[in-house]
Amino acid sequence: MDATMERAVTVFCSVSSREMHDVESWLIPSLMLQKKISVIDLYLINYTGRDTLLYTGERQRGIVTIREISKGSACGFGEAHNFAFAAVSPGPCFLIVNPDVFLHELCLRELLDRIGRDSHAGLVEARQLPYENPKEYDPATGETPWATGCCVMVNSEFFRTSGGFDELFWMYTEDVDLSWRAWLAGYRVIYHPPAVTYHYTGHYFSYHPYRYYTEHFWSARNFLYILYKYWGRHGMKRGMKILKRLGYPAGYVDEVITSFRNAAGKADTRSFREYRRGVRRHRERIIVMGFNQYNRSRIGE
Amino acid sequence: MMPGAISIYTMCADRESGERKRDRFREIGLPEPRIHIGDDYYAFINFVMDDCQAEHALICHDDVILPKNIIEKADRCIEKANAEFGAGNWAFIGNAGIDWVNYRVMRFVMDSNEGPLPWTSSHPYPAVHLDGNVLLAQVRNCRSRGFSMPSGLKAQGVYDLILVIESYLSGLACGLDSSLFAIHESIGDREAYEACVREPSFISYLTDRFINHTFITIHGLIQLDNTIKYLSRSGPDDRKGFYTDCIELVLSSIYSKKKRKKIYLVTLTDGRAVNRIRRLLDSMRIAAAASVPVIDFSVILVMDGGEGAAPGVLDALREEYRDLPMTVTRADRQSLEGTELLTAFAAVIDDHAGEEESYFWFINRNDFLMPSVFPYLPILLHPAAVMAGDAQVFDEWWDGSDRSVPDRVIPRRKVESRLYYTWLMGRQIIPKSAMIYPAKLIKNLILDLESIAGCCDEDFFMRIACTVAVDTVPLVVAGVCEDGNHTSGNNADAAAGMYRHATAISQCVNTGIMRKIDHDFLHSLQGEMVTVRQSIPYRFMQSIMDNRLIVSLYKIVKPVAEPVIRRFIKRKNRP
Repeated sequence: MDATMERAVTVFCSVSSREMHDVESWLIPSLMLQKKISVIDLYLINYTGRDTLLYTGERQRGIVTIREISKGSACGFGEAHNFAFAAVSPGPCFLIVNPDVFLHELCLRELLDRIGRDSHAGLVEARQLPYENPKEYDPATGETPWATGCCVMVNSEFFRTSGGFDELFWMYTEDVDLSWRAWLAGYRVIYHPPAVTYHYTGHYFSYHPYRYYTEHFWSARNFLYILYKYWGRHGMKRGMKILKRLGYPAGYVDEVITSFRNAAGKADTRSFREYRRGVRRHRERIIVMGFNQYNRSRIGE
Repeated sequence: MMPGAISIYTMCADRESGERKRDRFREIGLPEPRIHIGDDYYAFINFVMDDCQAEHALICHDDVILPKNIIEKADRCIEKANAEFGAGNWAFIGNAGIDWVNYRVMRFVMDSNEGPLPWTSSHPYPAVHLDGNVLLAQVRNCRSRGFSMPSGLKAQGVYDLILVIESYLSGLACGLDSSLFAIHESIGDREAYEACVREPSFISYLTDRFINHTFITIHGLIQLDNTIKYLSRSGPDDRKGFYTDCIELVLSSIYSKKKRKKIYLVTLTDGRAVNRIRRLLDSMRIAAAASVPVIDFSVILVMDGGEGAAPGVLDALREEYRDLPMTVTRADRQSLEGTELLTAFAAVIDDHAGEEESYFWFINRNDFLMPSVFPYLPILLHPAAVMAGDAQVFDEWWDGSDRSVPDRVIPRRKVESRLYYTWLMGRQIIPKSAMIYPAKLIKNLILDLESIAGCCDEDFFMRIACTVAVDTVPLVVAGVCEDGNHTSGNNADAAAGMYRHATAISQCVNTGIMRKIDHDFLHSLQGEMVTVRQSIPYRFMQSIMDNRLIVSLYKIVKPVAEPVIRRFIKRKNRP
């Protein structure tokens, strides 16, 4: 892959009408400010399945060309990106980004340079500020157990050969799964702090103590699913035990478990056996330290 | 309908008590009330909406003692509500409830709950719940927006929550204001209230409309079993989402039509540490990109007046950030240690302080602002109050390059603005970068700038905030950054700081910021604490005492634990 020379970047961002304000306020203006990049093709993936066009602004804004694509049916995060990848066929790498981020002016350049230096880099993740995610990584190599899907440069070859995201996750935790499969397939997952993106929403900013959030629900459901996927029935049982100890209301836990069972019932478990064997070879990276904790670091360490 | 007029309504259980009420009003010179006989508040509110000939109705419980000048006060309340929400956009103003910004109890009432007298609110605060003891209704708005109380509900103790919900569902705001102060003689009936919140028709009312599991009222939390199926569905839920989203929608629509507000983001720089300034400008750029309606802002970089300053750097920054509305000005004097923002303040105040609806946000050059707060500023900023937000303190390490991002960042403590009243104990806990000042308000205090020579920024801004109203906001508005190695200060700086602080506190003490009655009241909380055991100041004092205990324990543990922790961290960080 010769991404070092690449100055045109394909960017995928899945959106509904709720996210369009963020896309227009933050994502697009920050892409327009990217330095040492000549062309950006931004694909807004309408995951709602409705025909209504979400982006009605100008198609060309500075170096950014904006297109909206849709599968025609409602889809989750992974399915939306798998569809976009198949429909667009990006170059050697492409960026997956959240709608509510503002990329530092050198973010894309740094990500491109990093992924271009290493043909075995499957995923290269940018650093998030002002609150840096608790991250376990090797400062010398940048290797990390998993990369978040908030702002990550993806090696197209890896994405193609691995079959992309597991669509049964629907949303949240599919990035952990993709990272683990990268390690199992012989690719590296890299955390690259010089590439920076600002993320001003989510946990630190907007969560309300009296609400249940979609993110929490799907993270809990997918916590069970990923344990099942990589550790089988034993992992699933352990996950349920942890989940039940968290003190969620019984109705909430029931709903999470029902949703997990639906997903597990649909899964093609033949490939899971291979993953379960691979876990043994990657004990240092494929780890679950607690509820939704897929690395050893916590904030402040 | 008589525009501007106010009718008083009250509900009595029977005709005799209604007559007694009417006589009482006559005796004390209040306008004759319209009496509704019955015991159903839902029907009562609908009766008011049908019957009222005036534009406004003052709706009172029969156990409320109104001030004799209540009509005058209600007129003032109408003025304030019209100014805050717009004449056509509000439904009810009350004197007690839960405010929308902080989700905290706000009481402009005296009742069986002990507590200090309320303060004068400069504007009505948007509310999520109003207590029904006194309500000022904008009848014309309610009728034109189709407001009505639902029939078939039996839960009388929570009719006031339904009333506020129905207002927001009709697109009208509700607020809390001190103008409607009254004495409420009710002792409350906890059992009846508990029965009400278990009433099936009430629960269905809430769960049919919202996906909440919890509603907050002045009487307590209402917790419900509500389906969470919406979480696993991709399509929209038929319901209105969370109650607070519904409120936010109404308020956003109201405030987006208000007069434009201008914020001056001011920082002082000597041209050094350009990476920090660029980080600050980056955060301003992100805020600018959010393009919040009705907020204009302008960046003012003030060049420190000292000889070591490098003006060329500012020109380069102006060029680099030409997409930002930015001006560069020069301070007359060089800032002294600890007075960076005062210097910036002096350099810009005269040029802008006369502007209507202008605000100053002074940001320390090492800090940055959180753009996520900008969408809320149209609702949160008021010309008569200083806004204090929360701040997140970070430890950070820079690599010495010009890059606007630090090498490493670790979030440390969060400073909560709700504890701002520790100013009254001589402690400055809210970082200066986390406060926004109305221009006109601080212009009036400009003379104080001269009188506090020898103080530092923190003291000055603390003093301003002590003398005016402060609206606290539980949103992180600023990132406050400290050197991760904690090597930037030395003993001499610390000593100088302590002397400055002593000077400032002495000034405060001798210019009457703390009135004797306030002091005696607060001081009494440390002693007897009998009548006010449940009051917020008491609990605050308690938490201070608890923290002291933790600190004293920490002092014992620290000498043993610290070397171990350090060794552990060193080992972890080893490549």
